[in-house]
Amino acid sequence: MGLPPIAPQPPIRPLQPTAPLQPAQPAQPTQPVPPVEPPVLQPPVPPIQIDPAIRIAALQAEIGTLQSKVQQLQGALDAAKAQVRAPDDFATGLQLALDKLQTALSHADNPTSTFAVREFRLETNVHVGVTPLGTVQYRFPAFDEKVEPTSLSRLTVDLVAVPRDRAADATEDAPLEDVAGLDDTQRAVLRQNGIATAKDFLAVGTRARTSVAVASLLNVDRAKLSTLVSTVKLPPLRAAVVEPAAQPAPVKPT
Amino acid sequence: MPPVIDDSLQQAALGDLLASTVAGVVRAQSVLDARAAEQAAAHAALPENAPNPPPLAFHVRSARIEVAMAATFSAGTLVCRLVNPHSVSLFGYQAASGTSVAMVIEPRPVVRA
Repeated sequence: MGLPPIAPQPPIRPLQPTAPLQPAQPAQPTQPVPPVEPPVLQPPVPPIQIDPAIRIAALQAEIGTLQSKVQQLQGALDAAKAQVRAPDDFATGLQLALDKLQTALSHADNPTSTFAVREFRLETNVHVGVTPLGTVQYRFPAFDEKVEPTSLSRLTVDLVAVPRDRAADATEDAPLEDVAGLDDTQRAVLRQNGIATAKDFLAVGTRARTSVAVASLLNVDRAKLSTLVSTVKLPPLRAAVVEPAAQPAPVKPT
Repeated sequence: MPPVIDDSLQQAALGDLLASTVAGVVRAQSVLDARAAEQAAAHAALPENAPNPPPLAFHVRSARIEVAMAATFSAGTLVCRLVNPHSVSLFGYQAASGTSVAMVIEPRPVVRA
């Protein structure tokens, strides 16, 4: 058994000369680095020693100041809420509810009998206020309002059905527009204070305790207020106040 | 944990609540009238010689309705809803509006012109 023949190897290439070596360049001179100066150490500040009693007193004073400020802000907030929430027109709300009730009863299609409300009684807790003009104002607490029970008043309203007097219906209450001498601003001020008709104006204008407040509201003196009230009392005087120039001038006899 | 109920869905105008309440009374009278008419017709169909007692007719002579709830004002109308049990448990009934309405309705005979 003989060995396999060795394959012929390629001839070895001779070494090629590379690029000639460059001599090393001398190092470029650089800027001199300044010497690092050691930091100057400050002497430690000794902590200020405060008497704990003084510190507590200062904090208590600050708490008192903040609490008083909170109370002031709470008072301002309550006052703002009270101004935003107008008094409820209790009579109108009750009238709307009763009208709806009576309408439902009158539309009942029972062939033999119709139903009518004979008695109606409403009891509720409300905030009651009285204006300087003597008008009583009611305000219902909101559903989510947290109120003091002692601040609420119990209001009870009993209504009974009475036959309608046609003769009394003919004498309707006149609106404020019929009060001669009142301008729009004065009528608006009166309505804001719960005075909506001429009879209301007559009631508060002739009452000794409220006439001063009414005069202040209307920005008139007592003589002018007396004239305004007189126009309500005496309708013929109204024409004289409204149209003073329309009256014919007296002619001197010659 | 009990389901959360939207309180705003449980409120209604006082007039609507009372109107729906009296509508129930009127409907009850209508049912009584219909029943009386049926019995009268059945009685008329019976032989005359038999001892047949006449049917009875009932009517509502007076209906007194009392409703207790919480009420407040909204957009010029009286709005009522059930009293919030959480507020009542914390602050008592005196801290709510505690509105109660009692009314009496009576029938009036229909006058035919």
